[in-house]
Amino acid sequence: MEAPKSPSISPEEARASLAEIDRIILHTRRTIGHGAPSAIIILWGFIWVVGFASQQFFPPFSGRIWLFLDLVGVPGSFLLGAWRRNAPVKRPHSGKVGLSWLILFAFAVIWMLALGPWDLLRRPELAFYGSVMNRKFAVFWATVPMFAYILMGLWLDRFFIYLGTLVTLATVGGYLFIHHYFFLWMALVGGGSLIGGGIFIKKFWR
Amino acid sequence: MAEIDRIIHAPARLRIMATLIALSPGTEIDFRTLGTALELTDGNLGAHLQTLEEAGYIKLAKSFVDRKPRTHLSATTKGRARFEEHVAALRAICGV
Repeated sequence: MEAPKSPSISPEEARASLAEIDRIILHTRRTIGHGAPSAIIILWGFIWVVGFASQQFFPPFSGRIWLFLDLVGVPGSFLLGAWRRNAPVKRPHSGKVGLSWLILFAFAVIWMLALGPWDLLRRPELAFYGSVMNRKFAVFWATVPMFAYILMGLWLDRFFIYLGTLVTLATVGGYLFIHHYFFLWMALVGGGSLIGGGIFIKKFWR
Repeated sequence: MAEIDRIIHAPARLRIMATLIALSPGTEIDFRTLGTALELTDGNLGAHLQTLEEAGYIKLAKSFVDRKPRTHLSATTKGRARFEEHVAALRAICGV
């Protein structure tokens, strides 16, 4: 059926329609973000709190703790995404979103393994608490997903740009200025921002 | 020049189309969720959806979840194009 066209409308009416369209588009996108993304952000917030706190307080065990946390976090994120498949919104590309995150994660792992000065880190004098190398790796691992959030914010909601930028700045600031308590800073400010951001989405994006 | 689309211009259909356009192409939304989000009754929503479907602006897909019938809907390529044209016409009227 071909649509009849061109009713005449006033500029005020047109402006009101545009405002309504903007409101509904924002509301719809936020309703989507309210589900799995917020739960995944909160999950990783807690992972950061535990992981970075372990680096601050139990450095000898932190490697194994981080490995355990990643083994919980990565499949946990996929499970949270899959759980939303029964949700009212069915996305044909939801698998691709998860795959994109997995590729990004693999990309970061490969570069870290390829570029990390592992031989240097085996030396006892460099393997101490709060070493520069460990902090550099922490900055790398914290900023890579935050960069992905910023990109996500370009098409989903600006909130992700703000969250990604905030955590990135906090990470870089902590790296530059808070040497001895950097991991504690990351646990509280980095992990806390993720948890806070996730709770914010859950509470206000309805 | 872009023109106002009379089918989309009706307030309820404008809101329905805006909701569907906000989803990425191919993404489907549940009938009931849409009705709740837009505060439309099933009958009212169904009538508007029929108009949009007949115009080829949306696509309905029926399925069974836990043995219960569910209807999902999404905007078609034509619907998206018409909506963009409608928005462009509104902007032109506003001088944006």
